[in-house]
Amino acid sequence: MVTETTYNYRVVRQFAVMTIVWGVVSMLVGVIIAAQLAWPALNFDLPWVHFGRLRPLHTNAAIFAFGGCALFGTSLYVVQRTCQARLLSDQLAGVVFWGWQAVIVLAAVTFPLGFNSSKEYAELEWPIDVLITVVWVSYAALFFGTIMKRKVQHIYVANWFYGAFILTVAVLHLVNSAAIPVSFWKSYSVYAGTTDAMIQWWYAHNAVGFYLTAGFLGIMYYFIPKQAGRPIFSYRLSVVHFWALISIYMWAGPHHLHYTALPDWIQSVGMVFSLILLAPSWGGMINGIMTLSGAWSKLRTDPVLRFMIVSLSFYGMSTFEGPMMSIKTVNALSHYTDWTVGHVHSGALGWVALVSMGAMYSLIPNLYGLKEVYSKTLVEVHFWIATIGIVLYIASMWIAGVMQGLMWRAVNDDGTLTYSFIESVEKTFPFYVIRLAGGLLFFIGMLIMAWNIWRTIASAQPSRVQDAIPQSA
Amino acid sequence: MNSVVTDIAGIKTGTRFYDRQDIQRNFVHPLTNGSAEATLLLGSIRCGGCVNKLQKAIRPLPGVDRFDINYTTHRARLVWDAALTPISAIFDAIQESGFDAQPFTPGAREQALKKENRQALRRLGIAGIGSMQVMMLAAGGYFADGQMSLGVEQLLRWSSLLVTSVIVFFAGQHFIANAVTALRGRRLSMDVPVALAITAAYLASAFNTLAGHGETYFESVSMFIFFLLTGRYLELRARMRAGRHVDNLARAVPQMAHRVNDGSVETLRAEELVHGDRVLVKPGETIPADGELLSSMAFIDESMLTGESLTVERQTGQLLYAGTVNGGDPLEITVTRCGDNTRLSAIRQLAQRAETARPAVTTITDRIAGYFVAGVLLATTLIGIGWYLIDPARAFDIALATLVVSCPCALSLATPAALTAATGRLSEMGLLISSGETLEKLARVRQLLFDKTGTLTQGEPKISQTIPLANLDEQQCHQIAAALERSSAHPLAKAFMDFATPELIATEVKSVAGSGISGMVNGTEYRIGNALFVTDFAGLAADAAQTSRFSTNRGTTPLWLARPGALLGFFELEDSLREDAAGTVNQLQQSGVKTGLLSGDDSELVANIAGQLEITEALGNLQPEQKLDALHRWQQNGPTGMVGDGMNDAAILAGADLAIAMGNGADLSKLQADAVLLNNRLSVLPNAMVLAHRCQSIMHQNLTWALLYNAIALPLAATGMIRPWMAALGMSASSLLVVLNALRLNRNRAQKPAEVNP
Amino acid sequence: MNSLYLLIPLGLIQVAGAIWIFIWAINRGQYEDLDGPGTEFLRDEWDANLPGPTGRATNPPEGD
Repeated sequence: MVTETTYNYRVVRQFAVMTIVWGVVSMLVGVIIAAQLAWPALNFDLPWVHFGRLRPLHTNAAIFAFGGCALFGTSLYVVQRTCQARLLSDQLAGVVFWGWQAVIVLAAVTFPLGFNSSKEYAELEWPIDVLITVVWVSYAALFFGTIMKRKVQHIYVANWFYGAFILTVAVLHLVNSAAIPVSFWKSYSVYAGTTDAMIQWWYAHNAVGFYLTAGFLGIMYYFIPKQAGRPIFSYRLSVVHFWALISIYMWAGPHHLHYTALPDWIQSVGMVFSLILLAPSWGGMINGIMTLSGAWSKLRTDPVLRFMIVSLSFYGMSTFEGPMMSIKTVNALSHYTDWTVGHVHSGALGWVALVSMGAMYSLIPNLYGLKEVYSKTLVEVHFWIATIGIVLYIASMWIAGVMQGLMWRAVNDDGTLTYSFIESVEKTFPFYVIRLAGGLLFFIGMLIMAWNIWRTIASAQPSRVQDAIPQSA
Repeated sequence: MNSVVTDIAGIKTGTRFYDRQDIQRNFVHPLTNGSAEATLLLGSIRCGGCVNKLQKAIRPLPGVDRFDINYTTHRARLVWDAALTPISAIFDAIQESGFDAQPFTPGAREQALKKENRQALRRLGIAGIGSMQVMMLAAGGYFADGQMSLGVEQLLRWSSLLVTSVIVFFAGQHFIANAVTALRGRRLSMDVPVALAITAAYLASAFNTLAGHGETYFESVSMFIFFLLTGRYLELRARMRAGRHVDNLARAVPQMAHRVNDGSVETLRAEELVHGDRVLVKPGETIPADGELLSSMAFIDESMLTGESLTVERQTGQLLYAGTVNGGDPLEITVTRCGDNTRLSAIRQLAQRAETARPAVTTITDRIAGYFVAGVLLATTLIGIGWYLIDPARAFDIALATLVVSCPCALSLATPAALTAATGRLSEMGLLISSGETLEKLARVRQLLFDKTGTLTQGEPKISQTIPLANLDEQQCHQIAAALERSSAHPLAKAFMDFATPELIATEVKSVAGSGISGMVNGTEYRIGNALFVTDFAGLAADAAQTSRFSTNRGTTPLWLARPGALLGFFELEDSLREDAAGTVNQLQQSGVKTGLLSGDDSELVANIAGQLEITEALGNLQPEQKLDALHRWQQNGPTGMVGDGMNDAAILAGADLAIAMGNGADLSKLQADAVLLNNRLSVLPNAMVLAHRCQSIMHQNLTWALLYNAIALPLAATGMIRPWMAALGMSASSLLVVLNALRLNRNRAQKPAEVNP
Repeated sequence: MNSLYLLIPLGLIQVAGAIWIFIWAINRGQYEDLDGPGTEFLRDEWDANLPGPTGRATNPPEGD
């Protein structure tokens, strides 16, 4: 039995680098489609760069490529270090990494070609779904197998969040993507009509809850204390809020289907539980932010920490906004408007992206034997550009969304609609431009990060990498 | 029904085991009058009623002097005469009453608590996760409004039945088991209505689900169980926290010690040390016994005993205590006390004694709760019957709501939770409570008398001036004085410790309280003490002129050394005030507590100190009986407390309404104090009194709330205005509120004493 | 609402799994000490024992 002496950082490095790469790509596509919404001429009448085909490319790249690589990379890093055990199998790690990259590349190819299942955030056609399943099972085996080999008795809380994320997403994927193939690139969902809608949003919202929330909370629970050099505010709270989240999340999905053909009572259930969800979500936020209690000055000096803490503020904001928007009367105004887009991006940019960036800034230097990134100043610059970008984005979308909602519901005294749809589109134009500006800033920030990370890796010190597993009994 | 203690070896197979001397050594302490004291850890104590029942069963046994059970810690203090009843018979009697007992050792308590904690957590988790699902399923039902298809409706009902069954059988079963125990003991505990409600609601819902139609109460049952378990769990944690400090004390003594025998070092069990042994303590090690320091200097971490985390410096001859840690170089001590006689042991025993006592207020509330439950059950039955005659369809619903809403859980939790929290907090602050009534006394007392030496002052007097008056030089005066003071326990004696020489031994030493010490040294009789004590001995008239030359108005104590016919020397002893003395007095007076100072020392000195501290009434030159008179005078104006070092004022401490002893007093095990200030921080006192007040007021709040809630809720339920799920929510929220209110005591932020310029 | 015939049983199975894992955690003492793990894991200091220029990292970080 060979005693393992080092962690497997290779796969972590691979994922970390690709996180940056896919971040750039997904945000670039985002900028393009934002521009297309403002100036439709940018569709160039070409099917492959048409908004309809690029949009899923953007969402999938942002969530699964950028977000996915961040989750894979950090989880495989955290699980090793907190269990003081090397990954179960290097081969399996390779399968997970290359398999996932294959999924992303296939997405990048098939979406512009128009192969799309038409289920939001599950647009990939069935062969790729199968590949995803294979990769996911390998990932689960890798992750849980490493936990089983652990030398530390206690399983650190971050691993619980990662574990819940892995298991739940597996179920969601299998159930929602169930389809009957009719040709290599075409299938039909086994569900139909409102049933399909319900299952689709059960999937999608739980994906938000377990992929975008639980998974990234796992990142938060490790990297914030590490970066701050302080323990989590209340470890007990982290355990309690984990279980609260697990118990409640499942039924918030219907809030995507308010005022649709879905039975009224299911919509109401969704509303009530979306509101209840506020409590455990905020528990996590408070836990993370209060970790700095007594050491707020660190925020002034450490921009990496700032990324992480500010991401939690956006998390808190989104998890407040979300329940508010799931109230039926509010939803009656917001549904189908750009407010929803604003909400998504406050969560995606404000929480998911910022915490991933913070984690990468913290993680990557360590992976290459360095104390910190190449240029701290550039991290500062990135932070400010990104934050301004986010604010522009969500502010413009809020205004646009509310305006659209008000315009669409405005009726004249005789009961006819006051505005035609196209009028609301015209009025939205300036906000699309502002949103584009915000997104562009965010993209530029990402480019700055890419350059900073590239310079960091270029000055790597392989001999100084701390990947030795503590050997004391 | 699983008891905490079923897997303890020996209980079921033979209690004779406990009659063995070698076994008893671990948990039985012989007392002076022939009886012995033992601490037992009890199992299956589920509520206040169990305590009453068991106490009633054991106390009448022949030879049993005391049998006090503390519900919070599940510990019992037994004082009994083994000649009349062997302890095995007592164990048997406990078993026959339906409970379990084992000898209390700190390890046992920890284990028991750990297991209880796990069981409670498991139940809580099942109830919590499960009830969330049931609520979601039920929410569907609320919003359905006839739109739900039959198939889906059945799906929801059956799913609810499934999940609720799991909750009831794995979590709710706890209440049902408790209720059964209570009923078997012909007692009505608060678990009885709870169990009744759970069973009735569950069975009705299950029946209706099987029948395919009719009202179901699954969400009420689930939520009810979950919230109640939460309240109980918080209470369990409060109990664990309160006992933690004392548990730490128990673990403080190390197993091994290094004895020095003529140059060689032998490692042996700390238990085997005896008085006089020379012991080596290495850096970082814990000191295994009380002893005098042999090395020239040592740095000791006394935090285990006093809570002070700064290391203190000790000189040769000073006492070091078992349980403290050597924070410097290797040191050696001569053992003065070991095993059960160490200070640490005394503190533990004090704490254990307190933990077995139950304040009167809890006993009263328990009895009230019993009647309450009977009343609730009666009311529910009557209301159920009444409604059945009026409108049978609603009868069950309303009866259930009534039963649930009026369960007196809040009432039973009102006082214990607060007391536990307060006790734990006080112990964290450094005030160790040694009697069940202490908290109440702390809250009642509005007048506080202080002793001077060792209480308001550090108790470390130093000689600031020595003036030889006859043919002896300074050093000789010191040596004779030291010889006389050598065996004195008085704080002033410490000042002379350094001057003791082996050549000069004092014999026939007599110590006169409040005056001084006389003894023979090398054939000559000497006296050392205050002016009055020495002047006529020295053959001088009580002539102020002689002694007033050295009048001290700087807050120091004058001492004279004399032999028949001559004053030999004058010593001026300075004992500095404690840093926080002024601040404490100030704080006390600001919060309306009258302060006074009683001392056997010189009046002028006493007045001086009183002036410095702004104490209103101060009396000096008091003999012990005079101190007691002063106390009685004060008591005519109201309950009066006394703070002393427990040595020269044992009598007055016993007479006071509240007796607090300073931790630096000599013999803690003999203390009759209500509380011991382990860290000698006077500033704790005002905060402790505030805490005690808060505890009282919180208990009153809780009781008032509990009664008020029931008074309002019962009629509402009886008239059909409350649905069962609302009742469940309301009732469990009410008991949760009571527990959380009590836990506020844990967040008692100590006020800083007013800043005083030294 | 036909989707519920799938989703509710699925949800119940997941809840059963969650409860099972919860109990497993308690039985294995995962939640015994909720104060230690928060601070313990910070001890693997990054910059402790940075090895010298001679080759790969071999010094294990301090602590167990």
